[in-house]
Amino acid sequence: MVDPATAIRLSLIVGLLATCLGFPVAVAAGWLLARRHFVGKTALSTLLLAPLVLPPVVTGLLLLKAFGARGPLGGLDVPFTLTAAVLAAFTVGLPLYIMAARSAFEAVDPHYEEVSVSLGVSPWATFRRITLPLALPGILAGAVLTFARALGEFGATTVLAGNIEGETRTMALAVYTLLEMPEGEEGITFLAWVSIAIAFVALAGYELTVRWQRRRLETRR
Amino acid sequence: MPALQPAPSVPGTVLGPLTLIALSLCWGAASLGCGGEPAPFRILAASSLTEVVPELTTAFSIAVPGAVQYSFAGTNRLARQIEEGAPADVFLSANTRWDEYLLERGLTQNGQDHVFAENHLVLIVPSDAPTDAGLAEILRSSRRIGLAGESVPAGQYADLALTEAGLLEEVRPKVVRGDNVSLVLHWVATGELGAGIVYQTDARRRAGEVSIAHTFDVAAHGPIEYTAAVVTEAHHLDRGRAFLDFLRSDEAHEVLLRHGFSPR
Amino acid sequence: MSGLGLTMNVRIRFDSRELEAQIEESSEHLAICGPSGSGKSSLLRVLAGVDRRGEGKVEAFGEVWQDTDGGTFLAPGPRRVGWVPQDGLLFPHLSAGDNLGYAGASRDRVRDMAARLGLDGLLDRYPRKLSGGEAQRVALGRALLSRPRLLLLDEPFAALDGELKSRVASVVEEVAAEGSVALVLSTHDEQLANRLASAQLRIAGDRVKRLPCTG
Repeated sequence: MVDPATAIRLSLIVGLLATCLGFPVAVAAGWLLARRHFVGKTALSTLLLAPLVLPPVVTGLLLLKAFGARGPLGGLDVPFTLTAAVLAAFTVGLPLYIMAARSAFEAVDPHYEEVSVSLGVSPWATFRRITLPLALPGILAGAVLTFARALGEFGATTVLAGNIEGETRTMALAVYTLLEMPEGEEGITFLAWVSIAIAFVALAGYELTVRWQRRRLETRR
Repeated sequence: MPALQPAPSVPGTVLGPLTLIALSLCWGAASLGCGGEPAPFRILAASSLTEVVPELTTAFSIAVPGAVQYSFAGTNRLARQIEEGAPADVFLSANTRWDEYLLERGLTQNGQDHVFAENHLVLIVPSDAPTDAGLAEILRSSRRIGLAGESVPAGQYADLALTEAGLLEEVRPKVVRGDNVSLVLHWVATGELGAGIVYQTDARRRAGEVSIAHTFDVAAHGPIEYTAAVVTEAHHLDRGRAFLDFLRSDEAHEVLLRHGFSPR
Repeated sequence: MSGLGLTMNVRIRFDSRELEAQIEESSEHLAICGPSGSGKSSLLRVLAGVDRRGEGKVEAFGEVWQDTDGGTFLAPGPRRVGWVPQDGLLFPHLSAGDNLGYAGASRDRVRDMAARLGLDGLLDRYPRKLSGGEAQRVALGRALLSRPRLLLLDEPFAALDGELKSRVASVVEEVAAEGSVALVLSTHDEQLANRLASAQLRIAGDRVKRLPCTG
């Protein structure tokens, strides 16, 4: 049994959770990569961006190795749960998120931070009041991309989370399942239209945040 | 193609060779896609045949030489591809329904006895788990049970077999669906799942990591038969018919047996 | 409060050049002159503590602000300087009013300062809607409202003309007098240097010399 409405609900939950959980990680990693030089920086960025180039199924297998019953994080009991679907979407979406955050931070002129600190404001408060707000639209653009990527996530999810109706069967998995059922046509059409609608809203959101970022960093003409 | 547009920062001396390299790469990629070579002999085969088919064709090619290409996927998807006119010569199906579907539409042809092998459905457990508790007890004591998706034959057979055993409703909440049998096999082999239902041939593929705890009676789910057919629009009709004949040879039977199939 | 008493003995690398600054000044109001690109801005950045490329020792108000050999570097905050960089660098996401009050000044103080700098009615505007002169005055006000003991002005009135320049210069004079705020200003405007500073230094080549801006 495949219920398209349940699949949509699950997809939205997975997408939103992956996007929210990714925010602090993307901000921290993006800032680190944009503003700091340290030993192992290349290694760190390669590791964080790897899911972008790895086939998602491979990412899923690696996650299963780590979180599986015999893996080092097996005690967390992640596989085949909604958490697993979120983890898969989070991991696969993270590179886009971090790259967006990194370029958003790189676009912020460090001189603003210098001025803030020279006015007696602490570095941490400077980050909160200057750096983060100036980079925020760019980071949110990354969030939109991550959300969209999460909705489309299939490969890593099937391996780590299985295809469980009502638990991990998100839109992409539901479409895949319906595709192989002769009576699936109607459900596929419905899910396809919903996907297209969400994609358009997400892309419009992306465009808006990108413009907002440009406006925000605009100084005098 | 943006890569070929001269970027102002790149000196002209570098640009020439770069353009050449880019062009030759593109040309190479294009020629891979649609070369002037004659179409190869293409076999579309059900996923569960992934390992046995290359061995079969190697033996076959000694008699009838020539390049062979395979494509493996779920039977249903392959059938759809043939229906859409994908280039193919031979169709090896894991499900007689789809085989008949294409036959009725005149898209494939075959002679008599087109069933060339049979498979069995088995319950597997990780190799370090006991196998003698019996079907019902193993299913009850496993926290999660892996079945192939309800839309692929292996999943449908498993549903039928569990229904017949009167266990489906009881275990349903613990069922994890893998999109194909291989994923179920992987999950059990790595100990993620306490039990799973796969084909006997799959269980044999990872014999060191999983053990067979139960073999389902064919009566419970109906025969699992592999059929072979020649695609009507094939480029190599004769070669296709020769391959079908080869499947009934002793040589082919020996290969099939070694992989856990029951040849017919 | 002890006076500025500025001593600098630093070598600053910038734009693949080097500037050597040996300064010992008792004056509270100091002008540094020199052609553009000579290193005036870098010198002010080292004083503000936002640039660590200076090597050597900087002392002011009887404190060590920087001593490369001794491993000392005082963060910009505790130096209590009001740095006004050349292009103002107003925070683009904050209104003029929020820029002025950034360091924590009350709304009343912000309004007073705006009035003195001729910025009434502009407090709700964002930096991109301000003229160059307006932005410079907001940057000056923002620095003054952080209650600095040393005001660092980098080419402060470049975007102001005639009457406005004179008016803003008066504000700086007043504020400097009221709160006994010391002043280091970089400029290539002799008149301004003469008006605001009692001592003048000139950058010539790769050295800072104790020469008047004139000539």
